[in-house]
Order: sequence, then structure tokens, then C-alpha cells
Amino acid sequence: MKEKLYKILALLLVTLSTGCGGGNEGEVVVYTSVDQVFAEPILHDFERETGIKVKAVFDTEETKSTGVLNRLIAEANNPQCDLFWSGDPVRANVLKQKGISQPFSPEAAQTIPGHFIDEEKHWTGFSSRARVLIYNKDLLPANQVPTSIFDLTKEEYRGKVTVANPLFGTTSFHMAAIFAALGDEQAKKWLDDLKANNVVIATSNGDVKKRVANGEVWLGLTDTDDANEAMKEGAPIGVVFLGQQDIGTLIIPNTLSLIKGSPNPEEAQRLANYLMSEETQLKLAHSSAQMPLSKGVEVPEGVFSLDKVKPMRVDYDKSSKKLEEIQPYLKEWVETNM
Amino acid sequence: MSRIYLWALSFLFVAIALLPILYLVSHSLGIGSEIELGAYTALLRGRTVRLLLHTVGIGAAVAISATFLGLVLGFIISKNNLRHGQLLTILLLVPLFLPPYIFAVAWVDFFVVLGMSPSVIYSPAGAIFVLTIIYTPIAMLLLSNSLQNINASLEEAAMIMVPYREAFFRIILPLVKPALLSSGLLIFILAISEFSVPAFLSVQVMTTEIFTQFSAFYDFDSAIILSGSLIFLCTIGLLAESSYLTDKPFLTIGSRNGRSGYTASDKDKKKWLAVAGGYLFCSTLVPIALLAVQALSPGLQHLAQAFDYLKAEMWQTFLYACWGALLLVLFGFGFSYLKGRKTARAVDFMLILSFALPSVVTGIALIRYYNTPALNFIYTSPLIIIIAYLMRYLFVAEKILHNRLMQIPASLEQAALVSGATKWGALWQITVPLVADALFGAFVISFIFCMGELGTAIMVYPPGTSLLPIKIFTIMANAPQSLTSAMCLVALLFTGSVTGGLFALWYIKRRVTARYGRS
Amino acid sequence: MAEVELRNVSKSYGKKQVLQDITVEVKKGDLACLLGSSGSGKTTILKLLAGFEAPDSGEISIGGEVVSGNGKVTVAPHKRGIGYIFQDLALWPHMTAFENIAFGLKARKEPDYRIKVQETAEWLGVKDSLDKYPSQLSGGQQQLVAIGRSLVLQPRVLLMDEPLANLDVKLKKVVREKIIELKEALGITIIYVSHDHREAFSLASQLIILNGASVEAIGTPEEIRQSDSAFIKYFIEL
Repeated sequence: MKEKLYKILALLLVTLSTGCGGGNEGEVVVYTSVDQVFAEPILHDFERETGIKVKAVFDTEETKSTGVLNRLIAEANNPQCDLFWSGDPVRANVLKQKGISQPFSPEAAQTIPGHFIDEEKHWTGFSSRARVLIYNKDLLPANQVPTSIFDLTKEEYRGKVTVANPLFGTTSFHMAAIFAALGDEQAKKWLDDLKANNVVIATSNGDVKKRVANGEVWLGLTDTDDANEAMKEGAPIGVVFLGQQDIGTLIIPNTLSLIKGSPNPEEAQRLANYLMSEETQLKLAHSSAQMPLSKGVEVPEGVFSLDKVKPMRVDYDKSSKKLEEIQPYLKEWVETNM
Repeated sequence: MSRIYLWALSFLFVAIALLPILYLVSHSLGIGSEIELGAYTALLRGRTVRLLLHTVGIGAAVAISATFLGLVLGFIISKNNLRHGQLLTILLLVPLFLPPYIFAVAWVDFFVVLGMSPSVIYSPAGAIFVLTIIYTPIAMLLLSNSLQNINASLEEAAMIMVPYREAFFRIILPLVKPALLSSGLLIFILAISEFSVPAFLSVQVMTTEIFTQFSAFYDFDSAIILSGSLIFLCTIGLLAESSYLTDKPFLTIGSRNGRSGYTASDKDKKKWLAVAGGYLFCSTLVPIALLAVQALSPGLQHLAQAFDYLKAEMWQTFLYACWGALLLVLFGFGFSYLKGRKTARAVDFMLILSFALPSVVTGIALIRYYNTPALNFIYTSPLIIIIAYLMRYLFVAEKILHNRLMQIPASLEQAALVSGATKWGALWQITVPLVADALFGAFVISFIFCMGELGTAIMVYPPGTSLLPIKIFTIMANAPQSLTSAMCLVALLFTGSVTGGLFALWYIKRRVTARYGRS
Repeated sequence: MAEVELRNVSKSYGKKQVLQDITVEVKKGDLACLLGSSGSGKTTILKLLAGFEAPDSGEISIGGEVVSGNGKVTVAPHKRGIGYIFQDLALWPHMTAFENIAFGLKARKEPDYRIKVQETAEWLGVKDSLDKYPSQLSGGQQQLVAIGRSLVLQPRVLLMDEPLANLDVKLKKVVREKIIELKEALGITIIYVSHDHREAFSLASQLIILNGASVEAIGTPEEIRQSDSAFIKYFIEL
């Protein structure tokens, strides 16, 4: 009995020690808030093509665990991570402001329009999503679908519109951009009208998608990848790029940040170049309908294209600062229906 | 003599699990830097007080309803000598095998499928409902154990005089009061520390507020100070419980008696079976059937895909969970065995401190403490995950074992000592075999908890490793509903079959050694 | 007529046959002693009489009424008019001695239960210990409280499971006298389990000797003494 116990213990010990790898030769550590389903295959391809081992920490903005970012902040004194691959520039800017990232210029960034690169080179954007309105085609005829965010406050959509909690993820960024575009007063009025129109606050963009798809509400603000996913699932969902007549559609690029004190900066550069390559952007376009930012990348059929969309004029740096400023207001806005 | 061991064990636990917290707290309280007064005022705001009351209200409602249901179910499985009682018990435990979040999702989907407005469930009542279902199995385990251990003749002595119903309320219920209290307290603490369910159902409680401070404002200090209020609540509950227990000297007596006094008539058995079956159907089968329907609606491909996604994680998670459960049982037994009446409160406080801390805060504390060049060998290895498990669940493991140990009269070990056994010999040959069932139970519960731990592990898991709940969580974000459901189903089947296997082994082993059990 | 009767009663737990085709009668006012080696099913007979368990086959009647039969308990324990002194006494630890004794009376909603408890306690000599919890009582006091708890309800049949087993010599004498007094004063039928033949012979008006799962002999102490059975001879000489 005792002998058996010791044997089991020994076996367990062996299994536990296999996870401990001290050396970091030919490896790169990447933290990402991009959905694992889409990020992991690309990281695997990189491993296969370069022989560099990728150690990844996955997280997701969707379900609101911002573990990765909090982890980066907590690890600042003894960084473990080389490269942070974010699904949006907001987080990259948080890292920048907290002094956790460092400037870097991967060669591949040359193909990216300057507008999508941080002025101080703390982050570089690539494949991007857009903020869209989705609607349930079974419940709402196409000719009654709003075309501007201002339509959402109309009486006819009372209680039929959903947005994700604006304190988090891309929704928070969207709000910051709206505040920057409209000015505080008008933006607040719009939000208050929305609230007065019984807007449903969902937990996440994925939750928005789900609630529209199953008919709980008619309309929801979400990202193109969620919209794409819903359509792939066969949900009766239509997509509208809002604001083509007014403020335009918000474009949300993926971003890469190099962590200050990165243990493997060279490998991080190589991975950054790989991720920004046209090849990867094309892969992301296929897998999650992300729109390539590099000019000249052929957009696959069925994927939204930046060429046909009027983008919102956004200063990503300023918007991030704006977000910090309006957060207390947004928190109050969310909580008033407590 | 045993005091030295208690000190050694406490020292070890403090060094690996409590220092990270103290280190974090001392930093946030500004020790060694200027004090952030602003953060403290967060505690005094009207909104915080309201949130606190809201949290307590939900926690109390969940504690009461889950303990009540646990009592009914515990009575059914322990007092009715049902033919397939073991199977029923395992089925009733199923809600423990699923991440709480999944239950919330399944219930919302259920309302939608029925064509009803899910707004009913997006409410405090909905959160109470879902959390009650999730935590009822814990109450059931604690209470069935306690009911089984009541001396049968105490029950029979009352049955001679009054109908069983009255005997139950006047005699049995007062005798299981400590277990009712423990169960209520444990569930209260679990419920007020739970984040994912209220977050998903848009119910504002302390954990969601802490999360917002962390993840929207990156305001660690406020978050930590708010966490302090949760720890405060838990501590109050614990103190109330322990002072109640120490006031009642009779509660520690009671020798175990193999059979239960009351056996239900066949008619009653059927009635109770129907109650348990009805509960099982509503609480567990409905959401799981829904998951199954969603998972299988596009055919088997998503199930295969889910399995493919998760197969690498299963083995790894299994091993870590085994390690975690093993250490939890060892530490739990150590503390419950060594803590004396006087030191009990200090030990309890120590364990509750790490247990009641929201998982994100635990994660941050672990990072701040272990992520240094000197301790890198722990931080970058799976040891950090095991430590996280230890911090999160030692309180639970210790509590299960302590409840059981209290029922073993000290005379049994003393008898061994006077017969010439060493202290260790007496422990190993007398006490350990007598509490083997509780050791096993604590292992299984710990194992299940470790298998599902997400909140802390996601903060600290070493790059390159992967764990089952984290993989599901990160994949489900954008995966089709059917794939998400399929993954949950795979995880459920895996945890369920491992647990079932453990129970089967235990059952076989016990049958072999059961001959001395019955007189 | 027999006050207590077991007819062709059998009982087994799993594969273990504990009672096999037992037939026993006890007359009203008798003190019948069940005597046998340990494991011979003595306590099982008490459990069957109390109605905690049902016999697998056979019939049990108390006061002429069938209380168990066809493998079922037909009259619930609390309706049988019995008292039961358990081997481990089974005093409820969360109630004082007073509350223990008063429990059954209160359940019957007897208005003068206080007086009855006081009287019983006085007769048993435990009046001063009424507000103590069982854990605060001595072994003998616990024994007397347990007896009081059953007697106060004036049962027609009293079942006693080795009530003297855990007492010292002096207390044994006290309790034994109380039992005899009880039988003679109240005319209660007592069924008394023992494994001590001296105790049994000195108390009982009827002896029922169990050997394994069946009855070896039934009779007055005198009759049993004259038995030729090798088992009884061996058992008595022990």
C-alpha cells in the first residue's frame, strides 16, 4: 500500500517537473487577447517555419477577463513576456502609459499606413476589425434598419437595442471615439437618450451577437468578427456599417507591443514581423474576417473590405486618453439601472 | 509536541500562500510609500455600502436556499437506503463538475428556447437561483455525512415517542445544526466570492465591482481595499460560527454508528426518490440536456472538434488537479488534526484569508510575490498553479476533514498510545483509517475544484502550459454556440468519469475491507 | 393471553441470517430476559418489537394487535405503547435531563407534564440533576434519566437493552431494585436483553435463551436450570 503510494508520488513528481523549462534559447513568449482559435494556428505556423518555440498565454476580452493585461502590469518588475498581441489599441496604449512597453519598429510595419502606428512606435497595428450594427433579419426588415448611431435612440427601437458593457473591450474604445468625434456634451446626451430608450447592456460583444441572433433584441453594436461568426453559424443576422453618412465607422486594428525588458527581443521582432506579414493578415482575413491593413492584400470573398467603408477619423492615442477621462461617467451610466 | 508540527505547517503555509497576500496588501496600503487616502474613501461611499448589502443579501439567500435543498437531498440519500443511492449521489454532484458560468449560460439559453423572456434570469433572483443550484451539492455532501453519523439510537429513542417527522425536527435537526451552520457559511463565502455568474447575469455585487476597478480602471489599490471588505464579511461569519460551536460542548460527542436508525417505508422511498429525481431533472438535466442538444445539433463534428481541442489539456489538467488535491488533503488534514481549541481561530482565519480573496487578487498577489529572479523557478513552472489551488481551496478541504475528525473520540488514539504505538503510528493506524472516507471525500471535492479553477490560474499559468478550463474559456469567446457546448460537455464527461472512476475504486476497496464495519 | 408475541419471525441482514423462525410469547406483567451470546440476535428482537425494522417473514403482535407482518411495519413505533432503554442510553445531548424526560409528554400535549417529570425524577432520585445536560451527568444518573424518560410515558411494554452493562456494582444494585419495583408496582411487561446469566436469573420470571439465530429454550429460571441442553449447561456455567 505504502509502496504503491510512493510510486504514484514519484510519477506525479516527474510529470510536474516536465513543465519547468529554465532556458529560453530559441523561444518567444507572447501574451495575447486575441481569441485562441484564431491566434493559436498562426503561432503554430510560426513555430513550424522558424523553429522558434512559442510559449503563449491566451486570454479573451470577450468574457471580460482582462487577465493578460493585469498580468503584464503585475509582472512589470520582472517581465516574462516578450510580445503582447492585442485585439485593439486600447490595451496597447495602457501598456504604453504605464511604461510597460518599449518603442520598436519591425520591418513589416512599413506596409502599414502610418495612421495605424503609434506616434512613439510603442505599438503597431495590423489586421483590423470594424464596429458594426447587427440586426435580426427575421424580426426587422432591411429597410427599417438604422444607418446611424443616432437612430438607435428612436422610439421605434425602444428596448430592442443592445450594447456590451461600455467599460470594457472594444465597446469602451467605441465610446471614447464617439466622445472624441461628437464632443462630450453631445456624446453624453446620446448615451443618456440610449439609456432612456431602455437599451439592454450585454456582458460582451459575443453576448450581443447571441442576443440578437436568438431574437431577444433586434439590434446590437458589435465587432465584425462576431458578426461574421454569427453568419457562419447560420444565424439570421444582417450587418450594417453605421455612420456612412455622418461620423463614419470605427476601425479597430490588432496591435503588437514589445515589452520593456523583454527576455527574447530578437525572437519577438521575428514574431512581430511574421504576424504583420501579408500572409498572416490574409490568414486572419480567412479565419476571422479581419480586414488586412497592408495595402495590396487581396481580400477574400465575403470578407469586409476597408476600401468600401468610410472610416471614423480617430486619433488612437487621444481616444485612449479620452477613455480614461470618461470612464467614471460610463461606470455611472452602466450602474444607474442597478 | 504536536504544537511544533502545527507551527511548522503554519510556517510553510504562510511562506507559500499568505506572504504573497500580505505583501500585496502592505503595498496597497502604502507601507513604504505614501498612503493613498483616496482609495480608502472608496469604502465609505454610499454605493459601496449598498453593494455590500446587496452582496450579503444574495450570499445569504444562496446560503439558506442551498443549505435547505442540501438538507433535503442529504436526507434522501443518507436516510432512505435507496438501491442506487451511490449513483444518485454522483448525479446530484454534477453541477460541481461544470464551471459556474456555464450554468448561467445554459439557463439563459433555456429561457430563450422556451420562448420566454430571459429578463427573469438577468436579475438578482436569477443569480440566486443559478448559484443555489451550483452550491447545493456541497451542502448535500456535508449534511448527508452529518446525518449518517448521528447515532441511530438517538433517533430511535425519539421514534418510540413521536412520529418520525417530529423526531426529525426536534432531534435530528438540532443535532445536525453544526453541519447546517458550516454548510451555510461555506456557501455564503463561496457565493459572495463568485464572479462569473453575477457578471454574466449583469447583477452588481462586490466581485463585479472589484473586477471593474481592476479591469476598466487598473486601480489595483481600490480593488484590493474592496476585496478587504469581502474578507471582512467572511471573517465575521467564521467568528460567529466558531463562537457558536464553542458554546455548545455537546456537539463534539457522538460516535459513529454504521446503520441509520430510520428506514423509510417503500411508499416513502418512492416519494423521496421522486423529489430527488425532480430536483435532479430541473437543476441538472435540463441545462445539460440543453448543452447536449446544442453540441449535437450540427452532428458529431463539433464534439470531435472539441475533443481534439482539449485532449492535450485533459491529461495535464488531470495531473495538476491530482497534485493540487493531494496537497490540499495533506495540508487540510494536517491543519484539522493539529489545530487545538485555542489555535483553531487563528488557523481558520489564515485559511479564510486566502480562500475569500477574489481570484483575480490572488493571481496578482502570486505574481507580485513569485515573479522575482530568485523565485522564478516556481513562477515559471506549474508549481505556481498548484500553489494557486492550495490558496483557493485549502479552507474547503480543511473544513471537510475537520468536521469528520471532530467525530472521532480522542480515546481511540489514546488507546493505541497506551498499547505502545508511537504518535505517528497511532495517527497512521487508527485515525487515518477511521477518517478515510472523509480523506477520500476531501480529495474528490478538491480535485473537482482544481479541475475547474479558472480565475487565478488564468493569471499565473506559465506560458506554454495549458489547462482545461482556460482553454474552454478562451476558445468559447468567439466559438459557435455548439462548439462551446461541446467543449463543456467534453469537460463534464472527463471530470465526471474521473470522479466516477474514483468513486468506483473507493467502493470496491471498501467492500473488500468492509467486513469489520458492521456488527 | 400473551402481551407480546413473535410468530415464526425471521430476519437477515444481507446474507447473514440473524433470526430464524423464532416463536416467543411473553405474558402481561412478566419480566422476560433474552439471554444469549453476543451476536445472537437479541438486540434485533428488540428492534423488531419496537418497529424500527420489519421482520422478513412472520408476525409480531403487542397486546393482541398485529404490529408487524408480511415483511412490513404495520403499526409505527410511537403507536405501539412501548418504552426502550438503549444500551448506549441515547440521551439527546442537546436537551437537559428535564427536557429529555419531558419530550414524550410534550409531544402528547399533556398539560401537567412538569409535575409528572418531577414525580418520576423524584422516584428515581435524579431530581437535582434535571437542569443538567447529559454530558454533565454521571453514568448512573444518565441511566436513571434514560429509564425515567421511558417510564414517564407509562408504556405497556418496556424494552431494555443491557441496562446494567456499563454500571459499577453499587449502581447496578440500585438500578436493579428500581426495575423490580417498577415491574411490581406498575405491572409493566418488561423484555430485557442481557448476556449476563446471573443478572438474568435473578431478575427474570421468564428466560428466553438464544443460540445463534434460533431459540434454544424458553422457560422459568427453574425450568432452564434443569434443562439437559449442552449449550445451556455450557452457557450457565460460564
